[in-house]
Amino acid sequence: MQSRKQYRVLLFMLLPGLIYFGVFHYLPMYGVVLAFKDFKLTQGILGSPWAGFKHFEKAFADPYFFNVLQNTVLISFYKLIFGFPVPILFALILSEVTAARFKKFVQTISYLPHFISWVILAGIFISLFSLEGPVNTAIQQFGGHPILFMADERFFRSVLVMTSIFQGFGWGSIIYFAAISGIDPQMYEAAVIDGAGRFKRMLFITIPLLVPVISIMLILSMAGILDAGFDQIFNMYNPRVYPVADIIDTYVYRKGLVEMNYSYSTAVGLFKSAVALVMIVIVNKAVKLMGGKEHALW
Amino acid sequence: MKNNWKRKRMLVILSVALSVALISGCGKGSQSDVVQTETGAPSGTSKSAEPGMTVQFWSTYPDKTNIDGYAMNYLRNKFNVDIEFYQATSETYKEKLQLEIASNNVPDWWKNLPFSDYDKMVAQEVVAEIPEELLEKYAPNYMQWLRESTGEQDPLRYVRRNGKVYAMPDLWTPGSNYLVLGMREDWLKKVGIDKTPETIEEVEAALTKFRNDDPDGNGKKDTYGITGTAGAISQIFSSVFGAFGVYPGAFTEKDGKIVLGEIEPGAKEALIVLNRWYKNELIDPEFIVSKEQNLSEKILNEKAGALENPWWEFTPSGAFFSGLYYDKLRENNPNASWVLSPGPKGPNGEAGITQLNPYSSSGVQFGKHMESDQAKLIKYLQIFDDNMSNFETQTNMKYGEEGKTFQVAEDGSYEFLPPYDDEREQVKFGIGSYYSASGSFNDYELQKPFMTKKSLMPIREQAETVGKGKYDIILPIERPIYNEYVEQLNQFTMQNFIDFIVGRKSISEFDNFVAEWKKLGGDKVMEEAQQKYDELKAAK
Amino acid sequence: MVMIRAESLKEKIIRALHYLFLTLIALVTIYPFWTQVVLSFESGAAVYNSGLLLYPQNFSLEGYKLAFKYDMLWSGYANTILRVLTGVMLSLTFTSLTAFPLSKTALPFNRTFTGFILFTMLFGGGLIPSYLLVKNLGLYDSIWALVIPGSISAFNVLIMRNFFRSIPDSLEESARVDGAGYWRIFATIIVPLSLPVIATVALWVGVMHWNAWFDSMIYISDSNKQVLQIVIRRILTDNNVSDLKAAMVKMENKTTFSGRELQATMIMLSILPMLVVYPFIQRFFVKGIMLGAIKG
Repeated sequence: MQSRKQYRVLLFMLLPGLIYFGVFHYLPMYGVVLAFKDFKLTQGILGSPWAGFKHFEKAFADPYFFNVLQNTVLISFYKLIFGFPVPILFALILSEVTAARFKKFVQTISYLPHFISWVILAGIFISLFSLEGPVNTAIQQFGGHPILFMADERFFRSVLVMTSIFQGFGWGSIIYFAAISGIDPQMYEAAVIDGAGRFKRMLFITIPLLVPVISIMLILSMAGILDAGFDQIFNMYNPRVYPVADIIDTYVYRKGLVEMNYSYSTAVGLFKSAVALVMIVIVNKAVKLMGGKEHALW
Repeated sequence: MKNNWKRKRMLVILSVALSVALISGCGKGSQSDVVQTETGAPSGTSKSAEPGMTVQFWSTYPDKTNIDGYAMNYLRNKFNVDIEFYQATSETYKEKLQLEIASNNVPDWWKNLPFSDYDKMVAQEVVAEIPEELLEKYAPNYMQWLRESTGEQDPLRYVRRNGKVYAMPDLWTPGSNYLVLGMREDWLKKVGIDKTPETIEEVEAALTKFRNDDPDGNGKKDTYGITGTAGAISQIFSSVFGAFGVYPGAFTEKDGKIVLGEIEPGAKEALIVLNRWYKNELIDPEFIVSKEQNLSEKILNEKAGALENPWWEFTPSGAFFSGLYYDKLRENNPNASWVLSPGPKGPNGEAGITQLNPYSSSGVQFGKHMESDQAKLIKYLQIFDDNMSNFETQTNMKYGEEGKTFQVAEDGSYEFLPPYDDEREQVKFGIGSYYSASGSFNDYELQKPFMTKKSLMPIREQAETVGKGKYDIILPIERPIYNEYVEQLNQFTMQNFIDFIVGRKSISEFDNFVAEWKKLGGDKVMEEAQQKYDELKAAK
Repeated sequence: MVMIRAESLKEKIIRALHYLFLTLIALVTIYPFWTQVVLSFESGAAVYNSGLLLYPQNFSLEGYKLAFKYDMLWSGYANTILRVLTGVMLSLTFTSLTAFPLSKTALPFNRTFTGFILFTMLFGGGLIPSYLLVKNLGLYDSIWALVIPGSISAFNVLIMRNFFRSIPDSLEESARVDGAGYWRIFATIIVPLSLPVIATVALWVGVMHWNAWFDSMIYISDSNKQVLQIVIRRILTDNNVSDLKAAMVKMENKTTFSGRELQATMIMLSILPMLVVYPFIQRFFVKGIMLGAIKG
């Protein structure tokens, strides 16, 4: 088949990347052992004494740990289930627009929330959902009672998910726009001739051709499965909703304010990475099983 | 064919490994011990510099400081040293400091680490011991300031570890009484209250009228009596707790024992009052959710008539600084005015708000290498001492030469003379407030003329004495058990307090709350607190 | 004839609804940004107005004037632009060069290499080892410390790889028949057909560099080399009226800012340049951009 000699060229192309990863990612990776050590600043990472699984035990023994872990998982999954499709849908809907200026305009606007930090967005949403804010005013118009959403365990997670979608759908849709723009227009032309309407064209051409991108985005998003959005939650939460909104990162952050404990946070980080790895493998397998062997990660 | 493959693979792996090894090999050994220095400007030289004695000053404002300007030369001449700048960043300096230490680039000194970090630094032998005799001898003004401000004969006992002192503590003197209860004076008049409310009953009556009698006169029932935030235990309407003699969020002393405000019986009384207030809609229900910016919005939009805040938010900005609820409020409503009090008086006449221990950070620490350079250490002590206490030095560094760059006006205020009233000229000449040669010690008394307009001095002096209360007296002391449990205990307390106040939990369960709290590790924390306090007292 | 007209009406209504829906989304989405636009021109107590912010009540340019007084602002822009350009060039080059070989499933040890790269997306050594590495490589206080360490991201490599895989083999085959080697194929077929994904990665990397500040804070000590975000943070902390320490320093020049409007001004100064540049990238996301390329 391919001349073996040809592969040499490819390997040569690959070399700088491999060196880069080796130097900048694998060389510093020894820092991971911090999770198993008692870090002493002056002795450095390698010189510090071993501590075994002490930090992990400490983390798991914490009475709040499982609650915090549960919140992280739940919030992540809600964001995934509700949030993952939105950028795709948005890209699909906006692509259908023919007026180019309008399309570009709406697209640009859709990114803007991504650039506003949560410090500011949180203030805006707290105002929005406040007792005298627009949401509660509307509820009262319909005869309901005002609810303090931001302090209500029943609604806080929903607020988190919705506002997170709001912030990210535009920016997240870029990749799908890119994919859509790579579709051969002739396919659409052929479909039109065959009498396929807009909806049918989307369903039978666009979406199937987006499956590769969607698969890989889905798999790769597993890498952040235990992240759940520190910036957002930190700026929006309050002690009243800790039971439903306190995630691993916010909890570790508060603990870290009291003592600078690198080892503890490294251990927690390692735990998160391990779970992420497992999830990636699982979702990757699932994608393959569903017939998308070429779309999978490996 | 197959061999070819194996060879190719080996080659690839080898070249990656080789490059990695090469790159890591070169440079690994060259971790320098040289102290970090930098700015664009070369270190100036002074004719009378002692050979080799160069001191470092922090520079967080590289564009506003001139290493060869007037202020720096003044110091060079006065102390016979050469100067270099240590580039510091105001944010994340803690991470940066840790990174520098980890890479063996320990600076001469640093400041403002919280106490838990201080203890870690001491334990890891990163800081130099500061012999106390040197402090007494070469920084006498500093020591006097410590003694006078704290009323302690031995102010260093909070930073002593194993009998040795490793830091020059920094005092934030306003901390001990900066929080006050502010009430809208004009609203009081509007609803017909002439006497300033003092007791809980009087305050409650006032808040009730704030809520129901439309004090802002806009025809809507949109005002609450009092509002606040729930950011920390000590922020949840602490003045009501103070009326019953307890200070949530602080370890205080009572009859020789250490007590913690939130689990004291007085807290139950306070919660009963707060719950009643909440039920009667005197408390803004959004206090749970408000962050600082939301709080400001509410007050400035006249949605509440009372809150707890630093006294300087209620006075004009010229009196000290900020003045948010004075200047900005009166922009929209020129009649707005505040009356300040230490908090409502309880049945025993007690009043107060949980305040902040003036030992708010561990202050200045020196890198370990300074232990073997005592001459330099002494020099630093002298410079810090002079800078923080000597009015003439401060005037020179901030304002320059009298008659040339500044003058003292008739009302006693300091003015720059043109062209030095332009900040750029100040920077070029080398004066201003951007030099940190005083370490970080601020004697607010000394700096009064700089900070307060003469005409506003009475306002300042009156306002800054209103606040009362207790603060956490063992804040600076190393407490490992506390560090371990504090986060979960605080979380537990916050949630319970909020539930008690809003009525989600009945106050009768208060004792259960205390019992649970103790089981969560609280009794271990109290035990440790008592022990540390006893040690502190004994070490006099 | 009748059939076509009925179809037209339905289509018209759908199209109108379509536009209406999107306009609504646009209005709602632009609101947070709009609040910052308004605040950046606001002053005085109006900064704290609650409710919908639609236009400034006390119009003022003070915030912008203050920002422009900082000479550092301009060097911040220059340094950041340099960083973005260098960073994007570096990233695009090496990310695509890494993704291309991996897109060939027949490449020996493909799965090993992929695993090697993917692993770095999940596991890392942390701040201290990376810091030591950067220092030891002599990159400290240079733009390379900002641009090299993050230059190839596993995520981007994999995204690009999958895009490359979707390019039909037939194109490559015909090129090879003409005697083209992998370099030529890469440059003349793969890259031109992958402009959308390349533009996407360029955008991601560019924005990342534009917004980055932490690495600059720890790796750059020469204040002339500081990036925009650091300068912006500096301006904010300098003028933070509620910070006593900052006020001590600014005793003479007591500021009248509340913080919010200044923050909004800073956001404008940070976002507007991006908005200006973005339309140039947008043309890559147009449907049918590949029209010419494929036919050719």
